[in-house]
Amino acid sequence: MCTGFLLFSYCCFLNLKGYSQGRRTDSIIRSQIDPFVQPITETDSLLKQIKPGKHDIHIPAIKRPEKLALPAKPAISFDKVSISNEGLLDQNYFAGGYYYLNNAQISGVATISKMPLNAGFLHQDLFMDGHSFKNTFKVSFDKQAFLDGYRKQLQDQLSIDQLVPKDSLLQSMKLKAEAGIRSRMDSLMSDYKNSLSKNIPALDTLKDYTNNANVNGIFRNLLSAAYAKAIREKEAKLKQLQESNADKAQMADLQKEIDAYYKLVSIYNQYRELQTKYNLSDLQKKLNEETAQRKKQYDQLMSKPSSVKDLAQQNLQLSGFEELLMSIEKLNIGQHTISLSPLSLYSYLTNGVSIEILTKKKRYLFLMAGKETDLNSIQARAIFTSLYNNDHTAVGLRMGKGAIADNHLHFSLFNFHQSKSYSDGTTLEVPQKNTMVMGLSNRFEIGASSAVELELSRSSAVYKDAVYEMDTSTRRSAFHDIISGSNLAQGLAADIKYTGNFREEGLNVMAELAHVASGYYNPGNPFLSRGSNTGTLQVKKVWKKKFTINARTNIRQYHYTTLASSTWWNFSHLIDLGLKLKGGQQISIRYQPTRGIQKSNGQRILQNAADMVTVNLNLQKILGTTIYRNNINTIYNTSRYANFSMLSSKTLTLTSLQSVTLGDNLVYWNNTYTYAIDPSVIAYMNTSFNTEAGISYKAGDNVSLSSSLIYNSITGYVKQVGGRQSVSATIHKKIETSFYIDVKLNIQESSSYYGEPLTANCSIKYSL
Amino acid sequence: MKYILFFIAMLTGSVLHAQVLINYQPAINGQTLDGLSLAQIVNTGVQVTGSLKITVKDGSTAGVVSIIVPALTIRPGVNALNKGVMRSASIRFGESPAAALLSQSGRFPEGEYEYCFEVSVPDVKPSLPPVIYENCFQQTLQPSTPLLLIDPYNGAEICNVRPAFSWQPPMPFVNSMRYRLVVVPKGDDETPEAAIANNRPVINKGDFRQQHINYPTTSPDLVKGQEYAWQVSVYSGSVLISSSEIWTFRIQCDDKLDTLQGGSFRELTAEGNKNFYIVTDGIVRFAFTNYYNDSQLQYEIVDLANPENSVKKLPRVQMHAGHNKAEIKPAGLISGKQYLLKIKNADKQELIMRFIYQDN
Repeated sequence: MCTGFLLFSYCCFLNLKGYSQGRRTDSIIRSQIDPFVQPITETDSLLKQIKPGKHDIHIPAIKRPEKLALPAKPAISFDKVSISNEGLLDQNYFAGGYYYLNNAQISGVATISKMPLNAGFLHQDLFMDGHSFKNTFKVSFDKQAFLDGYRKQLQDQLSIDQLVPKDSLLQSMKLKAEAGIRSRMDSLMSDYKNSLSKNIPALDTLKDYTNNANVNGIFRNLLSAAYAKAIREKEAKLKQLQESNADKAQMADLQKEIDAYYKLVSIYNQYRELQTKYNLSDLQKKLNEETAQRKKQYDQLMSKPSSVKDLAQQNLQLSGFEELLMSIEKLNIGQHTISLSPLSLYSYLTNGVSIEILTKKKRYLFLMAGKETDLNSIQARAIFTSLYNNDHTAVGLRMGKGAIADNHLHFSLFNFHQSKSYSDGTTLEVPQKNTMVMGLSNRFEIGASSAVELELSRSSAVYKDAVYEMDTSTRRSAFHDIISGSNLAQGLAADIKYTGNFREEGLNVMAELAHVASGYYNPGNPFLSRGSNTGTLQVKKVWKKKFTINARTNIRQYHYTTLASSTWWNFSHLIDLGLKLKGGQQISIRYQPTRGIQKSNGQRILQNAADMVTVNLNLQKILGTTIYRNNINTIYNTSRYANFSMLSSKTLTLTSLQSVTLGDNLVYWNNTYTYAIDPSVIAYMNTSFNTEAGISYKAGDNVSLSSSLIYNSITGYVKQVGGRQSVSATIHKKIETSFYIDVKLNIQESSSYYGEPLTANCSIKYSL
Repeated sequence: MKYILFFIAMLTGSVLHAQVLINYQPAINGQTLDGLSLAQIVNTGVQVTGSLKITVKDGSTAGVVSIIVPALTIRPGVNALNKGVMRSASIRFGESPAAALLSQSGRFPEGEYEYCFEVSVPDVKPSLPPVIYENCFQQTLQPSTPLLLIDPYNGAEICNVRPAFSWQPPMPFVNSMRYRLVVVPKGDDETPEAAIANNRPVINKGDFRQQHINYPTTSPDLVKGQEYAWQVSVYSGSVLISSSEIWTFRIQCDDKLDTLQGGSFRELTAEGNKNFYIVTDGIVRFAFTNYYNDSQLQYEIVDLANPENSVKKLPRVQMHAGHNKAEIKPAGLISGKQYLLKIKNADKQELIMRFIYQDN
């Protein structure tokens, strides 16, 4: 708590600090320009217009060019179409033997009436104690590709000066300095011309005297070493002529040339004094920073989808359909993942339709209808029955003001209906259950670096045909329960999150608190645990881009009973220190302790504990024409269980992944040695050693191969030798294929060993 | 003798009906309402059709839930029930405080429970009452806490192409629990959930009991630059108890020698472009052609505000024959200032570039 408060105070300080820094720098420039800027009162009045902090550059209300017509495009087109097939043969850990998985996929981009759609179809076959298959279809609106077309148009037509105007105060300072220097320089050059009857090349046409780098460069060119040497020779010659009383005309010419040189030197010296008096270096630096910042802002405006959308709507001729497409942020059909916020839909993989709209006035609307299956992967479906059924159909909406990722205020309502469950390889009918989840979400920013997100949610679930002895009403509905407020505390969840990104200080902060009541049930977030209170704090700091510290703590309390006396706690912490060394090398050290504790009737019982210390060293060295790399990783790990001492272990693992680059080839030698300090009765947790030596090489331009030999041993369990081979090839630029096989031979094994000797995979991809 | 034979016939006759025994694991399956259906009915007699009643009471004998399955076919041998058995069942939630939580979340709260399974089989004589077989199981239920991932952390960038994986087990741990680890490659435009559901796994291993494993020896190395999604599940037999969140990590080394892909390279010319190239992230990238042999590049960087001073301790650059791309990270430059980069080719040809230095 104290740490969190101190951190929050520091973040507030950083937000305020940004305000004061801008003021200090500008006052320095002002004090140095003042004596030479006329009138001083004008400068003062200009400086008073400086607002503290950064000069925020906004898109001005400038006169816009006439709207531009867009070129016509074909109604339907296809692009990036590819067909691929992948196969995997691997050990069946569940029932022994092998399984084979085949993925056949076709994907591409179809543009229909200017609407680019990413489409894909996946057919999977699994041969694992029988055969099962799964088909997955998905279509999504590619908003980025849609905006890309308009982005190019906007970049061609809208210059940086139109979108991001120059800082008027800086420009004014520059003009004042320019006027002051020019009047002096014009006088000097006029005097030069009058006395020598010629202009100074390059300088007489110079428009900007405040760019001291340019002016210095011109003078360097003019007063080159060769020129100085020539003048010295002329001086020597003049002296000779004077001594020999030679041709006066020649002497006059020489004198004139020498005078021209020294006059030029004098002008340069006076310019450098003016440079110092006006502190052109600082002014130029400010102007350069402003140029870089404007370019950065221009690039951001052109890359950020929301700003490209705004600019396109303001500056381009768009049809009604295009205006509609501009408002659509996302459109998905088929299988897709929805993540709105933790207490509505989050990491939610569904099969259906969803659409997200954000209008010009920042009105937000999200609609969805779909079906969710608990066991999504074909391998899991072939083996498991889920203890907890979450299969359902869902409909819902979320609406309000502001985009999800920006400041917003949203209301959401989702309805989940269960009547089926996929189990034992088939779909079964189950008692019908209706769950409704209602939520309120708010996000607001604090300054330019921080944001706070708040969320509140209520859920209610009703079995359609069940009888509830504590409720004698003849008909129950989830919606009625939500709005009636019954069992309010038991069905409530809340979440608050703070994120701070302080770029200049190299600091990132994230803090989150969440409460989920014991009776809260939200099928839209499959990983939300009921009956929990969670606190997370994460801080990352970078010093001079070399030293990084990353600290994270996560505390969870689970309360699964109506009695207050029994709770379960999870503690997970991380401290990670990283240092970048010369030549792209780095070293890091990390400590991660975790604890699982039960508190019951005043007693504190340690259920499980683990401590992990990791040291990682990444070395590389150029040796002649070769590059040597070595990734060395050392992990000390202890884990213990309260009631299962046989599962407790202490291990020290040393991993070294070495490679040497020889032209296009790579020779590598990987070693992993795990020393079980306290060997357990479970054989495969004993001391083990794995080594692999191989070479990656090319056979022609389009074929890459990798071959290696392997030795693997686990004390008291198995000793193996084997080989590994992989091949990747591109054929006729359209076909990509790869193959991998790992084969082992047991030279010694115990009776409890049950591994299989072979693993292989292959893939082929054809791009149309 | 007649009475003995009659007695034996009676015994034999009753065996011919059905001898029903119910097996159930309340420690795991008794955690959820769905799990009540995962019982086994062992029938040592002929096939019968009966009804099943499941009753759960709390420690104070208050009713939590009762489920009546009106018609159930019980074949000879082991009948493993599944969730489908509940499709025509009637459910009644009782007066126990646990019933309110169970009806909302579908999970039993922590506490003491008695799970009773009662199979009712009609007697061969319709006039007689049905034969009832009942098995009850007491359990002090401690619901499993979620399984939490530890390392590689979500969003981590790691150098090791054969990393170890670790996670925090659920509590309380039950001896029959096993872990399964899945690691799949994930596309840049793909979500972790879709990747786990659809992609061919790099690692799909199970039957672990420990919460930390080294990289499997049979699996291929992970690919540099590739992002991966990973998840751990805990199961008992064929029942999936819970799955962790899905985290991602990327195999990415901050390797200077691999950074030539980033940023654009300005071509140096004899006159230099009159515009200034803006250097970002403190890295100066330039390109030039060397028509001669390999050698060390001679170059200097001059502060245009103070032309007499050139920057000291510049990194060494090896120049190859042909077109060269170089990137250097010189120390001692000041952000916002203008500099001139001047190089000399192997034939002493001078090429220049003006730039404004930004270190971020």
